[in-house]
Amino acid sequence: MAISLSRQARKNVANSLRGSPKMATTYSATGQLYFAFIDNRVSIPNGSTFTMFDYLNTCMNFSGNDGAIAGANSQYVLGTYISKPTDMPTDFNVLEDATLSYFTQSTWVAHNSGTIGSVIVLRPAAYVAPQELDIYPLTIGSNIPITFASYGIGPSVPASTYNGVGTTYTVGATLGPMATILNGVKSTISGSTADSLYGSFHSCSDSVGGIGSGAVFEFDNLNITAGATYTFGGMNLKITRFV
Amino acid sequence: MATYVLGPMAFPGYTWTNELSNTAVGIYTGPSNFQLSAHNIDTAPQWVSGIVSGCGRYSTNTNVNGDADHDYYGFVVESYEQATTRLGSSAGTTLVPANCNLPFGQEFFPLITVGSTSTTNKWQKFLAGGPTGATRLNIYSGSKPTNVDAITDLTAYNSNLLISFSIPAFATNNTTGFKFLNYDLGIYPRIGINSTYPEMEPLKMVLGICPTKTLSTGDGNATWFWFGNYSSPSNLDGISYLTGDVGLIGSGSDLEMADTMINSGNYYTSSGFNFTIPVYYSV
Repeated sequence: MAISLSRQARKNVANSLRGSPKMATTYSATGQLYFAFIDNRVSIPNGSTFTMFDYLNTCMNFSGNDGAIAGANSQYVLGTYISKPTDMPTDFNVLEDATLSYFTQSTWVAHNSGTIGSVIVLRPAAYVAPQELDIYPLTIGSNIPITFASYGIGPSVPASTYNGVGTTYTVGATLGPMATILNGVKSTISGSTADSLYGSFHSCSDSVGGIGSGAVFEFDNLNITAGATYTFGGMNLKITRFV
Repeated sequence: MATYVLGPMAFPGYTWTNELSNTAVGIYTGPSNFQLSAHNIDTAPQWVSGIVSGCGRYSTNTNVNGDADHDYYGFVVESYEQATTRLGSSAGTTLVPANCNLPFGQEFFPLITVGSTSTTNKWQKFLAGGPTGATRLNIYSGSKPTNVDAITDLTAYNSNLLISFSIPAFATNNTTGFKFLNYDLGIYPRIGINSTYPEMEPLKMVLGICPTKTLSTGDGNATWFWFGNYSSPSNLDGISYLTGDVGLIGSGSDLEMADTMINSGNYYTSSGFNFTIPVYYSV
């Protein structure tokens, strides 16, 4: 027994997962979803002792045992991809059959070598109209190398804005520095810290495979060499069941 | 078996503090574009989108609906309680998000709204929520249609209709409409992921709560139900609804009753049925 959702309801769900096309057009320079391609040395949590926190913490957070680049964990991020408006299907009827289909044949450049084992999807931090924001002094921790910004998922905060008190900027999320923009954005309207301005974990999956494989995330090659260009085939997700 | 894991179901309030909660704070869907001052929704999107919408107020400017509130769409963005706590008594639940139909002609709706009144006629897009009577819970005898999409005209099943609950609007005290079981949306820290709460929880709700005594109109053994928007029951094209099985309490059915035998002329109330948006999916 299972509850069955109508086509429109499934469409709503799929839309919610996919996101609105609106932003992608209005902010064409930015992305809608941020993808981090994770080395298979880190496994998706299996519901036992290795938790979702462990997984994300290993892949993304600035912990004390981070490998080659202190504080960055970047060795597990083989590459990233930021969705663009042109990645999205223009025929949204595709969503009515509850199939979420994202991107076609988009290229990305590997940062590290390894084998893709999973993918983390993030929503970027909120993008805020410049006239509405102040940037509080951004505390970039000493354990966070600025160079990590090159691995960022999404646009990083420009270095010139790190201490941009009273100035206005558009702020995006990065895999690394994202955590450091805590308290970095203030609404000039409410006077309080803009609590809604952070990127967020959207989803992750270890369903990775070749293009046309039907995996949630499709790649032309799972074995990655740093510096090489690869193709991100797309994202597939079928919404079938709610219980 | 491969796994797909959906992120936290709720958009955070302002309570994250440290650790990974800063980066794993909620499923923050939609345009990922949230602006703190008012803009016309069709020219400067400002909403968060997802399964459940709420709304709050950030400024006194007017948006496209003529309301001062801003739209939040989300896998539950925040509850009325949270909005009120955070924003003061002016926080509203009355706003139905306008559709985002530009530039692609794509209507964009969450699944559930806590809104109850609106100047926009978009209720049919929502599975739950809206003003009283916007949604209904119908209980039927006979065989449930095997394909939910085959139900194009609900009136075709009237001969098997046993009772039809007109669902009241969402109430913040969880007594009518629907309720959230495991989130006080927004503030509750469990929506984030951190070392204290290292795993996510599914979004658990109860839909179809109707404490109003409702007269049954048919006789028979309840076997399945239809729940959803009732604005166009004879033409369900573009309507959000769902179907499920009915069984006795403890049967594990989607909707459980103490007695599935319905007699016409009796009065019933509905405590609803469970609706869960899971976190982990096998794919």
